[in-house]
Amino acid sequence: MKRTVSLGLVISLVFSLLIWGTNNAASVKITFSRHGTETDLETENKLVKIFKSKHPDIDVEVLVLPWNDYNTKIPVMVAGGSAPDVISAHPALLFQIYAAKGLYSINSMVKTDTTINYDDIVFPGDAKFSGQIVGLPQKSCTHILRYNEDLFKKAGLTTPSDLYYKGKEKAWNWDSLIEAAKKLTVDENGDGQPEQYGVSLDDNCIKFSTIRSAGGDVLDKALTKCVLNSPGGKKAFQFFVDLVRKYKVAPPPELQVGQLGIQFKTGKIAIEAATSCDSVRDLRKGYELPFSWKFVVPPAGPAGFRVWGDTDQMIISITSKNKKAAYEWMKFRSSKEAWVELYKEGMTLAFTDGPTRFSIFDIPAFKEPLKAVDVNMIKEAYKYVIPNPFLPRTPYADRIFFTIVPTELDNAMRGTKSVEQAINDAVKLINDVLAGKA
Amino acid sequence: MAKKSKTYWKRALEGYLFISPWIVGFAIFTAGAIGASFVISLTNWSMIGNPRFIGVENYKRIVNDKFFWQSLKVTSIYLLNVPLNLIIGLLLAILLNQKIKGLSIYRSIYYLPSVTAGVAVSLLWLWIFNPRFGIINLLLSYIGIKGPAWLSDEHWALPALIIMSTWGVGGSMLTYLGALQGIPTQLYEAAILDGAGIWDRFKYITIPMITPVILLNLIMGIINSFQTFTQAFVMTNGGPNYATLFYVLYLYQQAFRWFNMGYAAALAWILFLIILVCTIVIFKTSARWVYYERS
Amino acid sequence: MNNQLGLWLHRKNTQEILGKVVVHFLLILGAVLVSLPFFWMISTALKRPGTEFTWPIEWIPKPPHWENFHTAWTMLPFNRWLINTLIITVSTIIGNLLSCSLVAYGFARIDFPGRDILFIIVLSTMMLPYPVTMVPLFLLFKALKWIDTFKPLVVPSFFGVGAFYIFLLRQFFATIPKEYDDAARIDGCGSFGIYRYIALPTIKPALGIVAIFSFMGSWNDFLGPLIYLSSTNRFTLALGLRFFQGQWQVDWVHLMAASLLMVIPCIILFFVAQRYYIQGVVVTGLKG
Repeated sequence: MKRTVSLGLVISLVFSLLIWGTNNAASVKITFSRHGTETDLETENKLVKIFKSKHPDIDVEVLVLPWNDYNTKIPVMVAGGSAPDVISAHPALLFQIYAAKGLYSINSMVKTDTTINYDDIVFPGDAKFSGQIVGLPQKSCTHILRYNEDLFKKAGLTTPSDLYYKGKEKAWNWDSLIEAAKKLTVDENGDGQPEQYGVSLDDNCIKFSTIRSAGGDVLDKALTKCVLNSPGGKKAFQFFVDLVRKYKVAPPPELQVGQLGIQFKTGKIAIEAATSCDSVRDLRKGYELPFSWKFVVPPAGPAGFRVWGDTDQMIISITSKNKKAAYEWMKFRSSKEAWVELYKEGMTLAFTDGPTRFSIFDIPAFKEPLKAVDVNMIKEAYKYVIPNPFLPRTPYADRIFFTIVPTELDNAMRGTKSVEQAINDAVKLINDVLAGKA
Repeated sequence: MAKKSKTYWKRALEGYLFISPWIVGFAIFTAGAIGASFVISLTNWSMIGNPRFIGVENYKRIVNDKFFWQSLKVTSIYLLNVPLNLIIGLLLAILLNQKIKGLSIYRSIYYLPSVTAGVAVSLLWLWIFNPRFGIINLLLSYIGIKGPAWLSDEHWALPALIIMSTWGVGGSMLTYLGALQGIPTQLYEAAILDGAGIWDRFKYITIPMITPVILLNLIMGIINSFQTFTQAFVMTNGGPNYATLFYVLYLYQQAFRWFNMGYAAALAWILFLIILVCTIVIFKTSARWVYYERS
Repeated sequence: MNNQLGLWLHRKNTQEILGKVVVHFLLILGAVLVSLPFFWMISTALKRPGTEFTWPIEWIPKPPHWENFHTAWTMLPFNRWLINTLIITVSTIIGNLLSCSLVAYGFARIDFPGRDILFIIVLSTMMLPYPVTMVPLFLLFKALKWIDTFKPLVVPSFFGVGAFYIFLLRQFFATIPKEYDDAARIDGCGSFGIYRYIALPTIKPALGIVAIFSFMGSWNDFLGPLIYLSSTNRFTLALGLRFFQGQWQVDWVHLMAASLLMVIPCIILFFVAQRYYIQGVVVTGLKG
């Protein structure tokens, strides 16, 4: 009895060693990280399953974390030598990783890969450093506007989309925005406080694209000097301030009207700043807004249409031990194929990730879920992301564009500083930061 | 010099044995990290690449950094919340220590702020401080005062946060409650027999007996106030116009948004020294007003 | 004479009743104020996504979406995360109670050389902001191979790393009358015996407080789990809750629903713990 048992044990041990050994020998494990929400966790797990069916020898472990936590954890992991094999990096993070030589350039891999149609890639400039391709896009996004179609129809106004399609910058520009917003700002009970506002442009990216659409910029080409005090910069600042203070069609920042239920979602703001990758979450079942809404490109300034567009690029960490496998995963994840296959499984990337290929604009996985909000307009927006990359490549980008400029613009909009003074203060601060003095 | 007595060494041995878990923990988990953070403060490091040794450059930069001084000012003013909460917490604990029906229910309700989701609390306080329809300005308007824009006004944002800090009083209330519980009732009985009134009993028994806990809440209040982060991060993001740029918020921005970990570490060490000095001063002077039953 | 005494007693009673009414009034007023955010949480959790911010505030959603609780809990692997959090939290409470009480007793009742300096060092461990110790600690735990396990979150608590609890217990230990010590020594008790049989029981309220704080600390800690855990199935509740807060949008409805579910054990614990350690009060300093 004992002998049978021990024999049985030995056989099962050998057997399991064989199986375990075989699996182990053939199976490569890589880790992939991206920022996202609970929906993203679900879709990534599904994509991993699809990938595994095509590459049974590669196991992908996904790490999804919310935005702030992601930006805390990834640097710590990299500093601690535990960087994931594939990291999805937004522009600021990508710049840092590249500057610190923390990534493995995939330039040669891509150039020799015949299965990638690189001309189809969205915002290729985002992934190029010194002419070398260092990553593949995981998602793309444009910061555009969305408007409440029902409010426009009720007021008998031509919608921004119609204006844009009919006359482009001649018909959809700052002036026509102000005009429409005036008619959509309503103070029913005459208490001086509108119950409905025409427009709210509370988005730092749109603030920057507006500066560019006015012909101005924040930094010069060499990225060593602040040029916000150009006529274009002043015009843009003045435009924002006028919306609030002169035409009174945008809510003053100090009133915090969002807390009072005056929001786009509650139907009390007619036009608001939105994103083509995130605002679409309001199209999911159970989250729909109680009115019909559509996207529209931000109105043309004196220098035309400009749109903030960027990608999160997947890069291979320089410390990765399985670079080939990492590349296979990146390739799949970034491909049109991933979108199509995921859609077959009943989920879609359209609610979270903008397209990584221009050809994705035309596939059902993108068109169907988003058709209510005008997919064509999103496509138009992508055309105005000039230059590409849109966000200047300086280590101070985040501080300049997400702290200093918005703070001074906010000061001007609240009326505590004149436009002149706000711009001058911003210029001084930015120049100090660029010189390493702050 | 007199030879140290046997009891001296016995006490030393006993003492160190009792605190040995902490000594081990400190040596392994804490000391290294603290030391490393000081070394980091002498470097230029984005965390992504390799650190570059630059000596005391970071510290020199701090002296000229207007945001450093601004954040120090903001954080120092915020310290006003410490005496405020010290008093409120004590009053609340005394109130909740009375012999009243339904006391345990009251206590649980008053503990709710400590367990309510931080995000919900932040949002509700944003509402309370809303310039137009928030409760505070609404009440003020009833007595004819037009309230400020609070969190949207660079002069009133900080006072608003100080008022909001009273929300967190549940923690200190708990410790005061525990301390009040520990006062031997014989003391009060003896005092009543001696003819002491309410105020006398409060002044000569209650307060002295809970001074150890007052010291606890004072020091913890200061340490925590200097490290305020979440409210500013979630509610105002340092604005408007840097009026709520708390020290640790600025530090966090430098470290995790602008990839200047070395500079952030230097900021951390300056803060550490400031808190350390404050604590030592309070501690040393505490011997005069804190009543312990020491051996 | 009897009339005067009678009158005095009568006035005393009215005073007492008036006092009680005032106290109750204040307490109820405070209770309402204090529970408002909590009610807002409940109210929001029952709303339809997208309708969280109507004005005036809709306190009772019609119809109440009770399914939000189920949806929020099942959107993400909260069941798994609950187990993880329980393991970590219970272990940490035990660790803190054991190690911090020992250490605090040493600092409070034994006059050993270097005590004051060491105590200041204990306090100083709370003075360095966490962002700068995160990377060195990560490196340390990586060297110990504890990354992606619960060990970095639990083991330090057994070694007195909870400086606040040490401080708290030290203050409470220091209030124990010296006579208790002397009496025990006469009976032949050593320091450890005094600690175990006299000091600990005497400061039961403080131990209860440490248990509550330690529970809250672990239960709601997201930073520790964020840094030290990388496998999603090892995450904790607090970390999981963060998923509802996106880069541009917050899923308020489900965030509140999940937060409420997370808060229930804290409330139960507090209710239970307070019955355990608060002996009914007979006489306080303020009664007439």
